[in-house]
Formats: sequence, structure tokens, C-alpha cells
Amino acid sequence: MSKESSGGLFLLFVGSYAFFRSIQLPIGTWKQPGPGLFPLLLAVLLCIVAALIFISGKGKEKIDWRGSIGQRMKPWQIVILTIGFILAMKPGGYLVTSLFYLFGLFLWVCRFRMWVATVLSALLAPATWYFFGKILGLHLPVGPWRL
Amino acid sequence: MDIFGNLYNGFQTALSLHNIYLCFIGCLWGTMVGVLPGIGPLAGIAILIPATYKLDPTGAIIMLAGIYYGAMFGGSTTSILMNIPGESASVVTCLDGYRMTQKGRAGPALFIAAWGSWFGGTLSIVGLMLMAPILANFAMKFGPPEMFALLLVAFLLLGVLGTGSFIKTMAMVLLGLLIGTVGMDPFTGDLRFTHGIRDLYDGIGFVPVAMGVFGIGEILAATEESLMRDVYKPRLRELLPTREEFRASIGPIFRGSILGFFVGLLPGSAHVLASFVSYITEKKVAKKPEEFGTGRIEGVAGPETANNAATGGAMVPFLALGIPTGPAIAVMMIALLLHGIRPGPLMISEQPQLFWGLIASMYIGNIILVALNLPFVGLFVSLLRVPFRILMPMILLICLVGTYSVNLSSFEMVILLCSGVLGYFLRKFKYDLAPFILALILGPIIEEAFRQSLMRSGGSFSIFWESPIARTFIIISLLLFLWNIYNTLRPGKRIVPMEEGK
Repeated sequence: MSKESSGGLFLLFVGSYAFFRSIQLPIGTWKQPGPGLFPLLLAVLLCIVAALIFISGKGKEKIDWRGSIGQRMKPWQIVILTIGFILAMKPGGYLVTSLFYLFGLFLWVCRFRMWVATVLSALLAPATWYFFGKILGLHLPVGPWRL
Repeated sequence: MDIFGNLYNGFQTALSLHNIYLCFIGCLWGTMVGVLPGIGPLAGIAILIPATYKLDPTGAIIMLAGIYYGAMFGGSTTSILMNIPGESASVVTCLDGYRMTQKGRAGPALFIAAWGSWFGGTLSIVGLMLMAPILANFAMKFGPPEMFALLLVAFLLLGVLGTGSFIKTMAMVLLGLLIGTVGMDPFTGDLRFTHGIRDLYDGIGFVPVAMGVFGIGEILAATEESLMRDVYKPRLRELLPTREEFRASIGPIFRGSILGFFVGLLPGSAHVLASFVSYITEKKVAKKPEEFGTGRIEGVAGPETANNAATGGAMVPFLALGIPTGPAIAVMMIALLLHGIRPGPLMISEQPQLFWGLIASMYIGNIILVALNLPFVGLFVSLLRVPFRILMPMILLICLVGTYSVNLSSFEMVILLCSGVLGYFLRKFKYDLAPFILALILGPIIEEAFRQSLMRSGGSFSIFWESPIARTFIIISLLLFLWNIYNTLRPGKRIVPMEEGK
């Protein structure tokens, strides 16, 4: 499937979802539009446009899935690590969580050696904690360590 | 006399030590943000929003505006020295700027870029100062039908000015408008698309989506490439251009200022478009157009001037009408709303010290930027020696913390990440991101205008035709729509600027 067709399919899915959710809301009348009217109009238009994009994608260049698997995995490695950071930040506190997050990024994604990743994360995590928390005065989670 | 009186009061506000300090911080951070590929003015502004909570609204917008135009100044540095645009509006500068560096003329290129940026920025501030109050007075006559029709024009203009096809641009507009409907309906209080998630009751925050799509999405895409470049570091005494180079840059700077300001009024990728239009113009008027791309000073002077002049132009609809024309300005709007200030026609009359203080600070900021960008260019260039492998995790952390800090919400970080993944795929599939973000922020406004218009008219669409202003905008919309359809059915080569926001 080409990029256009894939994009069109995704947008068609979004438009269809919005359509079915909108009709479950009160549509109202033209005189007194309800909460569902505007999203419904948008959903219909999006479905039409998405269908046009899907059709325009026929015969176009297909998505090339070749290329270094390692390079293509990097975005997903970042996503996985970031999910971990988001889940752990409040219970674990910013300082400790950012330390592990940066370590994971430097080691796994950026492919630094273990000692380099350790040193960089040990230096940069406290530096960012100080910059955000003390200099900018942002309220960061302290976690059980009260840091 | 009224303008000069107001400007005098504005300078009194802007010249306080506190506001000069904030202007300096904004310009410095903006230049750094502009120099570093990966962080754009949007992320740069969003990160400092929490820091503005302790500031008064005038100080806050002075600092944030400093970041905005500072980033335009800084973006040219990497374009010229490394052939990497610091932000998307400086793409064109790479064409001739880097060639000049290869010929040993990096210093003059940087000097002319800074000088042109200052001149264009200053002229555009004059334009802003003159036009915004007039437009604001005109906008006082706007009711819901006029506002709806105006926004319709804005969205259809994106189709003309955006990257890629009209249909794909409209898809992004519709997607942004749809996502903007998530949350509580402002008229009835009904919940839309929330699935029982409490954090969605107030809607999907613009800041995490914008930072996700532009910041995280950019990072995810960039990790698939390798970015290794040589960095040239010019000495201060090498900065001055020759007399011929200076003379050759006068015309492009002047033309770029005018072009940039008026293009800046348009929604979408104004800075990017301004620099492209200027480059094409200079090529057309040049005696030897074939030399463009080989290191012509005109190829640096015009685009850099235009992209800075677009800043003032972009501020006009933002301040006078309350319509942000680009993602970075939209984030500034969020910052003002957090302070309880709504940009628009009433702001200029009810908060004159804020408006004129901002205008005056922009004059001051322009001077600060020239002082920062020329003598200290070596310092900023040193930032580029930091490998992307080290910068990338820091940028991710900055985006996460910046998002978290707005509402102290982990859920917003989830939105940030999901938007980042969305932005990554949209980039892969060559969709324009700026229309999506603009539609997200303008969606609630256009819906409110649409529903209020229909309620007033008792359900009749003739209300959009009865008002002369609304009628004019509707006709323009129809013409734009037909023009876009015509362009779509007759494909030809189009100038396709990159999206703004990075």
C-alpha cells in the first residue's frame, strides 16, 4: 500500500470513529445546534477528504519497509523509554526517574558505552533537576526520596 | 501624535530594568533555540511558559516574544556555518549561505544576515505599530458571522500556502478541528469524545500536542538519520563584508522587509514562505540569476530579512484580531490566556501598556539580538559542537518537563507522546503539520462563531451573507476554494516551503 493510501485509510478510520461518536450526541437543529452537530460535519468532511486521499494513492510509490532495522527501531525505543518515564516520574520522583531515563536513552538509543552513559546521566539528570526546579522554579515530583 | 504618545509610554514600560532583563533572557534563549536544530521557537516558548507564571503579563509576553524573534535570528547561524537550518525558515539561507562559508566568506554572510534581520525586524515593527490598531478598530465591528467567515478564509489560505496538496492540507485542518472538539461543549456542558477520562473534560491541551507533533515527532524522525557535520567558527575580525557585498545587499534587505511583513500577515508557514518568496524575487531581479546557489550575498540578505520581517507581520492578526497565524504565536496566545489576557481588538484598547510595551520591547530586542548574534557568534556556534546524541535526550526531557509543568499533569505527557508518534507518522507520510496545529487552536473559536451565528439567525445561513464584511470573506473563501481545486486538478511545480514550528 502506498503512503497516500495508508494515510487516507488512517484518516478514514478517524473520521468514521468521529462520525459514530457524534451521532450519539444531541445534534440539535440549525436553529439550536447541539454539541454533536459541529463534530458530525467535520467527521463527514474528513471521511470525504480521506477517501479522496486513499483513491489518489493508488498506483503511487509503495512504502519502502527496507532499511536498517536498527535505525527504524530507534523511535520505538524512545517511545518505550518515555512511557516508562511518564509512569515512574510521579511515584519515583523526577531526579531518580530522569537519571534512569537518560541512562536508558544514552545506552540503548544513542549507543554510548555503559560508562559514558552512566557519567552523562549522572551529570545531566541533577543539572536538569537544578535548572528546572531551582532556577525556573517548576514544581517537580519529589518521590519517596524527597529530592 | 497618538501613536507617538503611546509609543513613548510603551518605551517607558519596556525600558524598566526588569523588562529589559526579560527581553534579554528571551532573546538569548531564542537565539540558542534558533541555533540548535531540534528545538524550535515553539518548544522554546512552551518550555518557558511555567516560568512566566510569576511574571506580570507585560513581562511575560516581552520575554516570549523575545524568544520568537530571537529564534529567527539564531536560525541563520547553523544554516550558514553548517548547512543545517536551525529552524525551518532558514532553509533557504543554506543555499547561498553555506556556499559563502565554503568560500571563506562566513563572517560577511553572518554579518549581513544579522544586519538584514535587524532592519527587516525594525521595519516590520513599524508596520505592526501602524496596522494593528487600525485592524483592531475594524475588528470591533466583527460579530460571530464575520469571525466565522474570516477563519474560513484563513483555513482555505492554508491550502494555498501549505506544503503538499490542498486535499492533504484540508485533511490536517479537519483533523485539528476535530481534535479541538474533545472535551466539554462550551454551550451545553455535554462531554464529547472523552470516554470517561476526567483529564479530557477540559479538552486536549494545545501545548502538549504542539510540542509533541513538532518536538517529539521531529526527534523520532531525526533518530533515523545520522547528523554529522563540520562546524566552522569565524573570528570577530572576519565578520565585516566588503563594500561591494554591503552595496549588493541593500536592495534585497529593503525588498525582503516589505515582502516579509506582508507575507507574515498570512496564516500558516509565514516565515518559511517569506524567505522562499524573497529568494525567488531576488533571483528574478538579479542580473546573473544563474549565480544563485553558488554563494551570492543577495541569497542570504533577502531571505533572512524577510523571515524576520514576517515576525512583525505575524503579530498583527495575533494582537489585533486574536488569531494566531503560526504555531509559535499560538503558544504565546496560550501564555497570555493563562495570565487572563485575551489578544484581540479589545486588548489594544483595554491593555495599551501591554501592547505598546511589547512594541517598544521589540525595538529594544532587535538591538539586543544584533549585539548578541555578531560578537558572540562563536559562543553560539560552540553549542553546535555538542553531538546530537547528547542533545537529543536533553530535548526530550525538556519537552516532557515543559509539558508537565503547565498543569502538573502526567496525562499531558501521555498526550505529548501520542502527539509525537502522530507527528512522526505525519512527517513520514508528508503531511503539513502547521495547519493541524492552527486548526486545533482556532477550532473552538470557529465552532463558537458558527453556532452563535445560527442561533442569532434562527437557523438561517443567510446571516453569513447579510453582513458586507462576512459576505466579502465568504466570496474570498469561495474563490480560494475554487483556486485550490483548480491547482489540484492541474498539477504543476509548486514552491513547497517546509512547515513552521521547528
